Amino acid sequence: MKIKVKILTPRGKVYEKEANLVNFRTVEGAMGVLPRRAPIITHLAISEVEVVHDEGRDKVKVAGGFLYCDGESVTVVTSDAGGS
Amino acid sequence: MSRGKLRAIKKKVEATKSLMKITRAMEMVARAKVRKFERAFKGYKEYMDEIERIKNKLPLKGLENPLVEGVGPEVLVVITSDLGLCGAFNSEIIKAAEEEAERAAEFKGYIVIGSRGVAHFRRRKLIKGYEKLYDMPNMDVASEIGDHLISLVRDGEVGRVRVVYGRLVNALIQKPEIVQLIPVEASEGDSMLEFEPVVSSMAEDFLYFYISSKLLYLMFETKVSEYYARQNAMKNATDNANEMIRTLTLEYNKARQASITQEIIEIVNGAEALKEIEEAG
Repeated sequence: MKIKVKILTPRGKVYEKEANLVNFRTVEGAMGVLPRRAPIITHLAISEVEVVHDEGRDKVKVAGGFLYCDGESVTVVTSDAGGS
Repeated sequence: MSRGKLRAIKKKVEATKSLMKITRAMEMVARAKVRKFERAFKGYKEYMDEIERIKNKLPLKGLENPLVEGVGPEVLVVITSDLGLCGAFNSEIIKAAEEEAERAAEFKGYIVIGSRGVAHFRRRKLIKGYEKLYDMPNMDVASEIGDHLISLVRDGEVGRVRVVYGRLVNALIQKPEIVQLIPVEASEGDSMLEFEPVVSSMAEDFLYFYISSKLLYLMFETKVSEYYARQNAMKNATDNANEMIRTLTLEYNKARQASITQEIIEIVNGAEALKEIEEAG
């Protein structure tokens, strides 16, 4: 069981991957999301989103924004992202 | 038929030809640019669709926030272009805005983006005009305007904000349309969801984010529409110039033929006259 991760910015999609675990920081503290997590919406802090997948781990910097997880996919919308 | 008329027609043809060169060049520029803007707009649309999806999941209804309640006078944001030569595109948007302003129960004024609109509304209840801010719409500009709108609502001066923009129906049709920006259309949300932090503290930031993003989306769409409108306008101008050249060339040839015929008649008459004199003598 994997979870689809997608990071969207005004420039379009900057990152997409099938992951095992997603770590990020909300405005209240750090959080991790595993596949089949209960649906959640969070407000991200200006931080790094870490995506753990079969080939290793990627880190993507995000300028705040919002994260939506429905258990099968994680979508991040942020005004800017980069540096994976 | 005089030589002068021939020369005048020839001059007209030359002028039309050089005009046609310009309109054709502008059409090609617009065609290249529209492709660039459309690509950027497509990427942005994906982003905006996701923001809309999140908005519909958030239980914003019943929130005690002026951005959701929407009580007070109305402001119209009018998005036009900075450049002209795009047919009736801008005037249609301006007309739609004025009609909407008349319909509003309590109308406060206009906030106008684009020099074409600013030039028109300067003496007509203009709250603020933004001119020549961007070629490619970007978040900096959108959040600056968004900030201004939100501060107007926060101060209680304004309760509702609507946006008049150029909707892109397809490559040939661009239509002015009016959408409501503030109050944000709030739904019950999805009761199955968790929120971190709680909705009441997240909502404020989300609404701010949503309003600027939506504004940028509308600016983007207007930009794409503008370039399609310009491409069409310039194509029509080129076609008209072509038709004009055809008509003028026909007229030129007719005039030339008439003057040749006239000359032949004169020569023949002269020869006949000489012959008569010779025979008499």
